[in-house]
Amino acid sequence: MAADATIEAQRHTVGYWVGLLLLLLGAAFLAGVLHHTSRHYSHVSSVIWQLPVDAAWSIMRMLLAYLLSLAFALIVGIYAAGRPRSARFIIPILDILQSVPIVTFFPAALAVAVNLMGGGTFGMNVAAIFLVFTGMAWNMAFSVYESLRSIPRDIRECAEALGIRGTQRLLTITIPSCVPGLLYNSILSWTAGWFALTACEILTVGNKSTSLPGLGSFIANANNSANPFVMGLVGVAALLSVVVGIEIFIWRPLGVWAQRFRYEMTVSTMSRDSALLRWYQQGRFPRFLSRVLVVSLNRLSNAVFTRVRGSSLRMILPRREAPGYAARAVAVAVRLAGWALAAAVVVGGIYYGWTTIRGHYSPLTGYIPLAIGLSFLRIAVAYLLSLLWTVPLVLWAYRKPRVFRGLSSVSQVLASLPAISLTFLVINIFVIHLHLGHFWGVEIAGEILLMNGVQWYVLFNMLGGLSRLPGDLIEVCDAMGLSRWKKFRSLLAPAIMPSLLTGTVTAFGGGWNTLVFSEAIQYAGHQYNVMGIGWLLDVASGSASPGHYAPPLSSHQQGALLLMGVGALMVFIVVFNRFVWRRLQAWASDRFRIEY
Amino acid sequence: MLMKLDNVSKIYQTDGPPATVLADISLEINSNEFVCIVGPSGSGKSTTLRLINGLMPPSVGRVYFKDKPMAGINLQCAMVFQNFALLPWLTVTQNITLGLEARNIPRADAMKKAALYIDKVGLDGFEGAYPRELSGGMKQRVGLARALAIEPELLLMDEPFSALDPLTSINLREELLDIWADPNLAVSTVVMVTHNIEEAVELADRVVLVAGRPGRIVADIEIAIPRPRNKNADAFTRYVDSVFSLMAEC
Repeated sequence: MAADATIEAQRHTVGYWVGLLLLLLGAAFLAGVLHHTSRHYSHVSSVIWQLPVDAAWSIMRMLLAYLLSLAFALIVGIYAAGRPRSARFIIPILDILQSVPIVTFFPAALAVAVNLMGGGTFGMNVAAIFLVFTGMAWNMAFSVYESLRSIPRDIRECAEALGIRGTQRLLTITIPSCVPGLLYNSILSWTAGWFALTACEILTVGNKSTSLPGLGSFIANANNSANPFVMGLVGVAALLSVVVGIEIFIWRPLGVWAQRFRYEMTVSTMSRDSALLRWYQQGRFPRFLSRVLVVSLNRLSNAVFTRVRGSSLRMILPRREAPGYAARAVAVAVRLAGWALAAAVVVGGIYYGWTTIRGHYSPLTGYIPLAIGLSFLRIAVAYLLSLLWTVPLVLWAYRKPRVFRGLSSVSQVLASLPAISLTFLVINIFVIHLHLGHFWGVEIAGEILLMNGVQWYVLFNMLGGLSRLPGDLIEVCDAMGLSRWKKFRSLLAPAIMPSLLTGTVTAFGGGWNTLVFSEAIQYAGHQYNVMGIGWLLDVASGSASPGHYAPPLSSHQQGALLLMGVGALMVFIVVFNRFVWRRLQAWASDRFRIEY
Repeated sequence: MLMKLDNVSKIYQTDGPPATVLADISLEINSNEFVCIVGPSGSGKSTTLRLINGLMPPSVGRVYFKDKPMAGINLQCAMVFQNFALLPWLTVTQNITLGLEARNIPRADAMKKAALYIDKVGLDGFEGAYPRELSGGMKQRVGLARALAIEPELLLMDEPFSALDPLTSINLREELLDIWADPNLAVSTVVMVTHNIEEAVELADRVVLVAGRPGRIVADIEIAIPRPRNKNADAFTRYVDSVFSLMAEC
């Protein structure tokens, strides 16, 4: 009976929290609109009618960028996994691209790209899609590479022994093996994509700003509209409903479908996927719609699996033969050409950089080291504050499956909210209502925005780490009657250490990306700036003022500042990753890995 | 003679000093023979099996199949794996027809063959099931059917019963012998790797003992007991004891 009751209760949980969330949003939305209607009724309602169109535009851009990323990830990941020698170059390059906060020079890159394509909305759309792509692709390529590297040895041998090669191998083994990892990373990529979208649907060059119709530009424009609070609220509500909708109608059915692509190797007691499956089997309303997707995906994959054919007619399959002289000469020539091209790019880049920088120093150039230091400090504080609330929460929730599941979903949704979309809230609270003054008010408001870019990664990864914790270890601790503190020290803390570190690295990455929004806030015609690399880069791209630090910069000075700021930041981040994070991660995975 | 390993050694190039796993292995396998390779773990039994299949080339020496030196993967072999090596996203039938499709056998024929071997291993009714819905014993039946379906001249088995519970493995061993003895089925020659000496003596015509580091062939014993074999008979226990004592000496 008790078991039946829990199942009955679980049947409704997902529906409950989704419903609750929608209800709250709806209420907030209505309140905002009602508050507003007395004065600007016509304006708000016209904006609301415009929103679905904006959302559709943004989703289209995201989808195109995502499809590009998917193709890129599969091609590069499969290529690298099959060629260890190439992988030695490809993997570090991907790693650097992944750790560099591309959002920081979005505006500048966007301006260049749009000019290259002769201006106009077409060029801007292409540039926006490409920039969203740069926020989505790298982790997906990594995931393909990792998935292929971890195909169990006996499966690889079995495929070889059966003579499965070429297209048959690609469609029946290679791509299916990537599905679970790709799905998880696709969700992360979409989160990153929403973030990028807010930066690239709006372009400011000098005093002129152009924007594409979309949710991103809506949110960015909201802060400078006549009634930023209501517009901000409307923007957040619209984005949240899109994100929740995609989660329910796309990611969850895909998650159910992806179940069949997992190799059975670990036995976990409380995996996200079993919860997902249960949700799928027991949910009511969403199940009906998502079932269509699952069923058609299953049909499609079965059709592929039964129709794909091999062509191994010879009875002894030769290993790859040693290439002839001609082939070897071609390979050497290709490699030399590649090196020459790389050298040309590097030399050209240095020359271009030198001519951009030379003679265009501004008083702000000297502030770059200080700015990076201050920004790093802000991220570190945001990170520690995040730990302060996420660690106790996770420890409280880890044995409550329903809470746990709810937390994962909610954090995933909230992580999709770009910092800029919360500007209206923090500025209203800390600067306008609490009168904390320009210094403390802006500093705290910025810190809260920064936390939004940091905390969800910490939470995600800890939840993930705990869900992979073997149940028998928890049982052993219970059976020995360990106190809470003892259990935390001897089991939970070490067990979550590797995933906490992964979370830390991604959190700092998220932090660097958020800085351009949190250190130079524009709200209702005011600018709230603090000294830091984010602000400096905003000054360099012309979207923030240099304030009392320097007179307005010439466009040459801006270019020089941008190049030097981004360059210094990249060097700092890459060196820090290499010498701090990489070592800590290696240590943690070596020391705290759970193996059977 | 079907297979021959001629003075074969296998050396792995690792980061440290090269590790020799197998040294000077010479082994002949005749048609219609059931050969078991036994030995302690790490002695290179599985490596020997992979050399026979052509999954890896020998570092020294040559491998011959029907008197021709092998230069790649031998598609006339089929392998059964310890942990089944089933693709979780394919149904029982799809897993079994995988090798047939690789050989470009027409779909209708492939389905017919799959149905035949599904019946032979006793999986009727599970054609559309996914591996994760099956018990360990049933998974290994799929692995066996997949190998049999390509009608190999040589069936290779890498500890096929060691991941199964004792009762299941007893049943599967008996069925394997029935399939091997069935004149209507193509498979006639079997090489099986196991660390279970009793299992080897129960099944094999010849037991080859590989031991030491690097692994060498220590003994090659003909099991001259008529089938069906009684595990409690004196002759049976004598064979088991002699292999045990040989293994203990190494």
